[in-house]
Amino acid sequence: MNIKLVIRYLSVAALGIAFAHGYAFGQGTVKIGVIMPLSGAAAFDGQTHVDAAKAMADVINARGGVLGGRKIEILPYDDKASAEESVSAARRAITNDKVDVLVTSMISTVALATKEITKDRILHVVVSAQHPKITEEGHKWLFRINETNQMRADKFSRYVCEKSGIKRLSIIANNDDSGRLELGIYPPIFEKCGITIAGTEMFERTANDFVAQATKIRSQRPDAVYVISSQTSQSAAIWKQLRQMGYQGKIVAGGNMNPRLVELAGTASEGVLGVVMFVDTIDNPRSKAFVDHYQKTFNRPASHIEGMAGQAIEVVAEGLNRAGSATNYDAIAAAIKGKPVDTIRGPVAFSSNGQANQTSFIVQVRSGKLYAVE
Amino acid sequence: MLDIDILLQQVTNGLVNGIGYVLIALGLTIVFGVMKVVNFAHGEFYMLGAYATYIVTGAMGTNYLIAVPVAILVVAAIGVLANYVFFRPTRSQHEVVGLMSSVALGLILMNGVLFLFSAEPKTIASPFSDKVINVGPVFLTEQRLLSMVCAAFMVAGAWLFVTKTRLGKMMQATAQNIDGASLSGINVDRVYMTTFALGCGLAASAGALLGPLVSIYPTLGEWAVLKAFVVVIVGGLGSIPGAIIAGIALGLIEALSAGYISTALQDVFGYAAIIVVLMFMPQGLFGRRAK
Repeated sequence: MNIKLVIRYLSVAALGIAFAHGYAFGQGTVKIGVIMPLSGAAAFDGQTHVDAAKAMADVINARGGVLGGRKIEILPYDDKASAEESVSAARRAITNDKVDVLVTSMISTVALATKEITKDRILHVVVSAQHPKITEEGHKWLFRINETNQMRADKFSRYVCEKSGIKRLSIIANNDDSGRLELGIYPPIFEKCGITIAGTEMFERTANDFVAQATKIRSQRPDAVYVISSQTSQSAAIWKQLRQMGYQGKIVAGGNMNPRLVELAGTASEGVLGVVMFVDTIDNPRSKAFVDHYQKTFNRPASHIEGMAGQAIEVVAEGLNRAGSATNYDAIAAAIKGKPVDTIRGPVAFSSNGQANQTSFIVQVRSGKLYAVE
Repeated sequence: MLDIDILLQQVTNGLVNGIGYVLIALGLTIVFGVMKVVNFAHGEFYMLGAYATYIVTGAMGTNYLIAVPVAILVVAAIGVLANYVFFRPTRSQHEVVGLMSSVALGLILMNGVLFLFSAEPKTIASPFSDKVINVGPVFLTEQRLLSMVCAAFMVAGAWLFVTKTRLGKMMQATAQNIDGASLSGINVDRVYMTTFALGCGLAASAGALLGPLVSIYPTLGEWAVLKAFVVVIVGGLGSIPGAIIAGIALGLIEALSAGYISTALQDVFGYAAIIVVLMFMPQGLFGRRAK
C-alpha cells in the first residue's frame, strides 16, 4: 500500500468535504453581521441590540425563514464603541465571514465611518445611531431605523413646549458628534417657544462622575434638565448624581430609556420623561410574538433598543423576500424603498435616502415602570 | 458675584474626587518606585476591587463595611499570584518586558471578568450610596464622605507603613539601590511580593470605596489607570507625597474648571496641567531627575 497515495487521496477528500461544507452553509443560512459595542461602558446597550436581533431571527426562522426556507444567522461583532474597530470588524465580516448584510451602530461617529466602507459593497442597516448625515450622506444600499436627532427634537420639543409647563431648562449632553449636534438643535427650538436655556453642560464618553455638572446645573436653577446620553450606565449615574447634588426639578431624558436604566437609577428615575422607539404594549401579532419570545429567551421586557434592532432584522428579511435574493443589493434596496415594510410597529416606509419614517413615543417613569404619555 | 455655596460645593467635589485619585494612583507609584515596573494592569486591580466588593455584598449578602476589607485582601492575594506569574520571571530582563507583561495581565483580567460577569453594568449594594447629607450648604452622599475619609486613612496608613515599619524601610532600600539592599541581607523577592500586594490592595480599596458611586463594568480599569498615570507622572514616579499633591490638585482643577470655565473642557484642563508641569519639571513635582 503506497502510503503517499493514501495521504494524497485523504487530503483531497478532506478538502472536498471542507469545500462542500462551506458551500452548503453558504447556501443554507443568510448571514447578518451585527456590529455593536460589546465591551466597554456601552456594552449593555450594544449586547441588547444583538440579543434582540437574535430573538427576531428566531421568530422569523420559526415562521419559515427567508427566501423559501433559508434560515437567518446572526453573527455578532464588537465595535468597542470606536470607528476604527467598527470599520475593521466590517471588513472582517464582509471578507472573511462572507456575511450577506450588515446591521450596525448605536453611535453616530462609528456609523458615519462604517457606512463609508459598506458603500457599493453590501446592504447596510444602521439601527440606532441618530446623526442625520448618516442617511443624508449615505449610499444607495444604506438604511436607518431610528429617528434622527432632528426628527426627535421636532417631536419631543413640541411636547416640552406645549404640554410640559417647563419654562427654564438646562441641557447636559455627551461630548461627541451626536451630543454636540443636539446642543445645536434644541436651544433654538426651545427659545422659540419661550423656554429659557439656563445652561448647557457636557461630559465625556468614558466619564462616570458628573457631580461638577450636577452642581453647575443646580446653580442654574432650571425647572427641568434635558439629559442627552445614550449609554444606560451613564444615564443612570447622571440622574442619580443630579438628585444627590441637590437638584430637585424635572428630569427629561433624550437618547436612551429602558427598564434596566430605570432599575439602575432607582428613586432618581421617578417622574423622568423620555422617548422610546418601541413599547411592548403595541397591539399587533408581530409585536406580541417578538416580545414574548424575547422575554422567554432573555428574561427582560422588550423596549427601545430591542424594538429598533428587531425592526432592522424584519426590514432585511422583507427586503430579501421581495427581491428574491440575498445578494442583489440594488433589487433589495429598491424593494424596501418601494413600499412600506410590515414591522412590529406596523408598516414603516423608507425615504429615498434610506431613512425610516417613524417617530418615538413619549413615556414617563412612574413607580419604576414606563408609561406612554403620547 | 461668586456664589459661595456653589464654590464650596465644587471645592468639596474636587477634594472628594482628588483623594480618590490619590488612592487609585498610590499603588501605581509605590510599585514603580520599588520594583521599577510600570504596571499597566493597575486599573484592572481597581476594577477587581469593585467586582470583589460586588460579589461579597451581592452573592454572599455580607455587610458592605465587611465586604471592603475582604475584597482588598482577596485582590491583594490575586496580586501576589500575578506577581509570581507575570513579573517575577521577567525581572531580570529589560523593563519593557515587564511592561508588556503587565499589558497582558490587564487584558487577561479584563476579559476574565467580562466572561464571568458579562458586560452588563452592575451596582454595588452599599447602604451609603443614596443617602444625602448636608454639611452646611454642601451636598454629599454618605458614600462620598465615607470614601473620602477612608481614602485619607488608607493613604496615611500606606505612608506610615512605608516610612515607619521595617518592611517599609526595606522597600525604600530596595527602591534606592537593589544591589545594596540585597547585599545587606534584604530578601528582595519578599519585598517585591509585598510591594505588589500593597499596590494591588490600594487599587482594590479605591475600587471598593468608589465603586458604589458608579455602575461597574469590566473595562472600568481603563478610566482608572488613565487617572492614575496622570497623577503619578505629575507627582513624580515613585513619590508618595507627589501622588498626594498631584491627585488632590487634579481633582480640584477638574471640578473648578468644569464649574467655572466649561464642563466640555473638564478633562482638557487636567491634561493641560500635566503638560505645564512637565515642561518645567520633566521628572514631575517630586520625582528624581534622570541623570
